[in-house]
Amino acid sequence: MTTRAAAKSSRDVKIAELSKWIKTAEASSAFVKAVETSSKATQSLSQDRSVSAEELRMPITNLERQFA
Amino acid sequence: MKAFEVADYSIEEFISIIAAASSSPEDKVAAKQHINYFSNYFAALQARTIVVEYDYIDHDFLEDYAAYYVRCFEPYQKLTRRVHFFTTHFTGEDFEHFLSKEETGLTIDILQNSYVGFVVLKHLPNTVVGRTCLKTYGSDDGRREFPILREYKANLFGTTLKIETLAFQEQDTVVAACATSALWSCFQGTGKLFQHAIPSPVEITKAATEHIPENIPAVNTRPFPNDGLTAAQMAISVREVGLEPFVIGAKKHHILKSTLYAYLKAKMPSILAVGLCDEDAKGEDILPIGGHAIAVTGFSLGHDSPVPEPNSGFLLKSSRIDKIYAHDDQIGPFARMECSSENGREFLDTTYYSRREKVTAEPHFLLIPLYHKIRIPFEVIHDAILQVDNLISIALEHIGEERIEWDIYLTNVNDYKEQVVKNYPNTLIGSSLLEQATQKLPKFIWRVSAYLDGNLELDILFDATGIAQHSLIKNMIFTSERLYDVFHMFGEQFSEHCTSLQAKSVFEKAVEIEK
Repeated sequence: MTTRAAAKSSRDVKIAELSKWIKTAEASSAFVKAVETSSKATQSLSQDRSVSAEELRMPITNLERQFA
Repeated sequence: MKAFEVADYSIEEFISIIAAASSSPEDKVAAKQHINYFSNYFAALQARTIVVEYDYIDHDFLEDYAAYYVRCFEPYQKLTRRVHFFTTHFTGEDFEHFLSKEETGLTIDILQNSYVGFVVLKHLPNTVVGRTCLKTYGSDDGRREFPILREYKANLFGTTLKIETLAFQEQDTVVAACATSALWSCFQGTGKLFQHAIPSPVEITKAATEHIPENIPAVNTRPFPNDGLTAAQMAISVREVGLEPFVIGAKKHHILKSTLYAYLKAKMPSILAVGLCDEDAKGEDILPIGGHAIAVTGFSLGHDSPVPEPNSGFLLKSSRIDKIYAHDDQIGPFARMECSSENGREFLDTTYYSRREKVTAEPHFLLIPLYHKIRIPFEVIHDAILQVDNLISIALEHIGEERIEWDIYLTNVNDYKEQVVKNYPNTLIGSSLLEQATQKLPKFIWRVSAYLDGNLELDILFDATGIAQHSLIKNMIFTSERLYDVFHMFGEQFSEHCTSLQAKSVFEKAVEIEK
């Protein structure tokens, strides 16, 4: 068997195992946890992306004088 | 008076040319931040010869002159000087012979190949640096990227010289503050891309200050002399050229990098509003200097591997960015800003020199001028793919595969199809190159590429012109079975449990694809 064929065969075994595993309760639980993690991460991102009204009203001033 | 003068390049010679143009003492000119920057920049570009073009009429300055300077008691000049830089060495005599078509070693090709660009000098007391078009640093094997460059032509006494760059200019503190200069540079890029008229600095400031700002005590209500703009005023000037301002907080590096990368790849420059701080040697005493705006024009993918996003471990190609390049009107074009953090504080190291130790910039927000049809913001796609990644990583870990590195950016249908022809393998899963090259797609697309071991395994295309409440996915292209099996299997089992509509549509699409 060539190296490539051996790698394919090994991968086929892993994929077959995976197809069995995803039907288990362990996989469902891991899936639910992953959904929760991603939801928390996106909530945190949403806060970090916000810009306060005060920041938007702040003047972006003329710095030339300070560095002149 | 002579029409031009040729001199050997040295920073001292350039200082003397600026001093003559501004009628300022040379030591005052030498103290400008720009000089330090130009000195390093021209050394890196290996400039050897300067041609000073006297009495040059610069369109942008002429607009500013007509709106303000012409009515000053002091007789400011409306003409400027344009200084050209070349990496080849020649003398004034050589150049005269060239212009007279007499036998000389100088040819158009030699001039073009050695052309580094030009700087327009205004005859103003201190703020002399006008429209500046200079060549960028090299790409360093793809590490540095300046996706927004466009061609500029300089006609030097009948010889057309071309340069790929994005124009820069210093604020004059009268008709333009830093925000105006940053907007002007942005519009240089978007004007070409979206076919809108490019306003001069005075026109930008006039548009921005048409309405009195809300916080009158903090902002000077007079448009001229201009002390600065607020975000709302900048947004108004973006609307004035027919584009839509998109504002997003960028205090965290991972948000700053991923967002500016996503839009810069589509040749759209961003305005970055920062707070500048002066620090002592230990970084313990941080003094705020004030707000500042710059135009982000490029980035450096300097990290060897992607940096996981906090809370999710999501890996984005954009997290490899170690530096950004910006047109900072107080420094120069393509000024380097390095992403740094200390004790939880995330900031950008600048190339300003100060009396203390260093000047850092704390990013506040990005303002991106967008074409009105680009309706789906980056975060919609980012957050959907983050969920896809978190789910699919479970399966990949189970079969011993590494985590996916995602590359998310905006593109257009023509650029995408060019990439199809260049980058896709001859065989695709459940599709063909012909189908991909001839498929109907919206004008603007969010392209999401998945990489394993540096190999492109999957492309997901989202409609950037649609509505977020609807599935935006337009296509999913697997270049091998490596990810196909996992996505197909997960889609059949779990897609209905996804909380993100777009993430769910990714898995549903994977199920539709048959080998």
